[in-house]
Amino acid sequence: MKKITLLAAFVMALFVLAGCQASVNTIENADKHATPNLVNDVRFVTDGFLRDRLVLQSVKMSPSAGGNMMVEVAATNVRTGVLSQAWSGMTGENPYPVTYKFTWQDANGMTVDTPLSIWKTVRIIPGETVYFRAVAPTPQCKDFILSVKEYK
Amino acid sequence: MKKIYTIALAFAASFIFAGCATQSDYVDASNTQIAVKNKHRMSSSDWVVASEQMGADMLSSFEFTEFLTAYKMDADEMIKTQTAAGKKFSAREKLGIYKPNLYLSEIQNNTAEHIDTKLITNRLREVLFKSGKVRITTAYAGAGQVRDDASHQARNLKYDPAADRSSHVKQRGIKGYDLSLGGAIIKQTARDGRANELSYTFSLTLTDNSTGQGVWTKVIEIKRQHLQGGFGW
Repeated sequence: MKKITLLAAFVMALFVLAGCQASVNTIENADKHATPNLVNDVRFVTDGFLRDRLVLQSVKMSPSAGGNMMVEVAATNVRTGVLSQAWSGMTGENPYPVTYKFTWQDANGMTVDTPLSIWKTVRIIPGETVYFRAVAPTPQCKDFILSVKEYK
Repeated sequence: MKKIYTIALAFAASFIFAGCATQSDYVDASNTQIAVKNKHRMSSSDWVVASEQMGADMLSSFEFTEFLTAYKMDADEMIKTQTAAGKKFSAREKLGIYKPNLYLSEIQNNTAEHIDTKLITNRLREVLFKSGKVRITTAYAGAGQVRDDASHQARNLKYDPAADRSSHVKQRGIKGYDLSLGGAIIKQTARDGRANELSYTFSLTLTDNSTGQGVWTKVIEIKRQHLQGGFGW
């Protein structure tokens, strides 16, 4: 009898946890028309948890109409599934809050101080892909560094 | 014995109060995460976020770039025509001719708060000026913006007997403006039980003053939420 009660409680708990799920499903056209300029990236990881939870998908760069370089980094919150989301919910990380900042470098590799370079916060639902976007402050800035950290 | 207790208590209290004191320290003003935010009013970080979004949109705007390209073509044509007619342009004049002159117009404050709109216009002016796309006029400015009277005062130096006559500036040398940046800020609040929402909508437009047409426009909404505590406000 006790075993049946435990089993029922476990099933109930699973249903409750499943009910807590709020992840993102997407649909998109399979045959793409765009020709994005995907660039190679170099990563310096100090927070392995962040790297595993928020997976960086792609880095695209292209000049804007005015000549200023634009960058878009796509990243997905891969903490989906019942247990992962339940744990994220308990630790206050569902949706997952991160802050990010773009730093731009000029032709000499020196960083450029600009009001466009600020730490911003974004909260990402499990399964959601966010696009970190930035525009270079001058046409001379061609290189960038994206810093991402957990919101604590 | 009672005195000893009192002194010990006083010492303990002084230690506790000393422990409560914190130092005032510098923090990164561009870090909107650590910024202290007013729950019911505009905060410093709201300006930082709004100007970053507006500035990035301006610099990547196709319509604004289209205007700048047309402006440069007109400037080329004008210099060519006037040079052929014998007019000479100084290097400094050319700097002003090839780039449109930006005027900071009024930002209407449609909130009940006292808001200094220079906090956004000055940041956007910096973004635009440092991008090398525009020049800025400081001799003229709209309501609520900073105007530097020095350019006008320099024209009155000819009445000062102590001033060097060779250093007088031309009476009609102040360049008119081609572009103006203006707009409005609107505040909205919402409340549902303990949930509170505060929202500021920034609506800005760049206008080509020779035609009166907008060359860039952007509306952004900065929204913050907080849950009110069970007690108090």
